[in-house]
Amino acid sequence: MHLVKDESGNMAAHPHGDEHTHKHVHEDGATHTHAHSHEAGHEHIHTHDCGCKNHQADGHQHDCDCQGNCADETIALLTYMHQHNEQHAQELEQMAVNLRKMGIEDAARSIDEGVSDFQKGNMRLSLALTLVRNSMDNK
Amino acid sequence: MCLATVKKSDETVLCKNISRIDVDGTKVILKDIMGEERIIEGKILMVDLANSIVKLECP
Repeated sequence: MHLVKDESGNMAAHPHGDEHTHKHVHEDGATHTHAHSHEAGHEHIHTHDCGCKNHQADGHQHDCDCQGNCADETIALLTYMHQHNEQHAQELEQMAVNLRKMGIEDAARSIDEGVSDFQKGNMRLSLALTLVRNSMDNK
Repeated sequence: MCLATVKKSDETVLCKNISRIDVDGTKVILKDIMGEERIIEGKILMVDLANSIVKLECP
């Protein structure tokens, strides 16, 4: 079952009858375009392939907080976080350099160790990203 | 800086994972990490960089 809403969350009025396509937002937040027809009223049960790997066969049962395309979003987020962490690691390394110049050697060393642990964690994210991509390629 | 969550002034979440915000007159253009854009009529009320929250005032 789905209700069709426009960008502002208001029920979108549209003609009933012939099969048509239009971009619309489902109540669960998924936005996409697909062919469908409307019977009387705006509510009906339908199935379609919107690309979300978490779809059940007959509806929009999402367990995750995705926007309808979980795998792609996960890959994008992991990629972003991994790269972002690299930037943070570089900033922290520079911080350690600055502390060393200030003569605060123990703090600099602690940050260096933290960066090392941080990068180990980031390597795990990189591995997770590879595993997700491989999993998608194999489907 | 992390990705932002964009909300209305009433705390309604408009978009998540926003990586870029452009302002064009009375329109705020939100782009998320997937590259999808959403154009919102309104203005930026507040940007909290520490908590990655942006609030918009929409008519």
